[in-house]
Amino acid sequence: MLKLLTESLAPGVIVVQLDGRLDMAGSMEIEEELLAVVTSNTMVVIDLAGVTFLASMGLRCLILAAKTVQSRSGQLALARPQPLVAEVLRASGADSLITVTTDIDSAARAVMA
Amino acid sequence: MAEIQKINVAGNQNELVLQILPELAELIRLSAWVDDAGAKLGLSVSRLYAVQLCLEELVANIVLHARAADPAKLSIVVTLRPCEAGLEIMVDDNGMTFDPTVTAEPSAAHSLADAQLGGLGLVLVRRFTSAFHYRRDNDWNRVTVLLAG
Repeated sequence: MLKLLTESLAPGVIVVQLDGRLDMAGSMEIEEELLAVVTSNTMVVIDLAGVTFLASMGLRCLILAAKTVQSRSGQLALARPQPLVAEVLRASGADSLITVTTDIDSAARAVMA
Repeated sequence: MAEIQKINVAGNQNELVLQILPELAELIRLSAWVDDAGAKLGLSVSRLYAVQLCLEELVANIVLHARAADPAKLSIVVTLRPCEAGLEIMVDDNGMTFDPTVTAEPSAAHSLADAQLGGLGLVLVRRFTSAFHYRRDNDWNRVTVLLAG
């Protein structure tokens, strides 16, 4: 089961923590909640440190979230992916479309830029 | 219905086979089976991840898109077969003919606004494997991918 938690990092910056498998089942569990977060915030960091598996439906979820934020003139960044999750981001080309950082602070700076 | 079988085939290779129903809920059971199979086959963490990824994508594709003359008889069979070249993953289904190896990849997006949301599953299968084959045999589709090494 995929868990989603949010916390405020700095004024206007929200961090979404995901924990679990971001596969088809996990994506279906959190997509509605994630979209609610990105439609009400313009500086969003998604912390992937707890994501142990990322598949195409999870990628779709992340790309949709980033597109939604950008359409509202905001910024979204992905932080702290585990090595194999980072490999999926690279292999799919998603890392060329969405900022990916190795720490939360860098991601926060990216979305505030 | 679902089970792990060890089948001794020519050359004393051990295949691990799982039959599943064409339902999204089966993906969760498939994932647990792959973890168990990975332990039996002694797969590394990265190799196990690649198997999980390929099977999630290939089986989800069938569950979401396969069509059968009699949907109640649609069945999916997953096989893991260690071989000299590495590990073969086979996914069989008895739906209508569908060859995922000829499916065009989505064009590379130059910006987030242009990015397509679909078609990434087969992109990942291609990136994480060294061979991707299809054949139609006795009314069954068989997709075979190879994880080399």
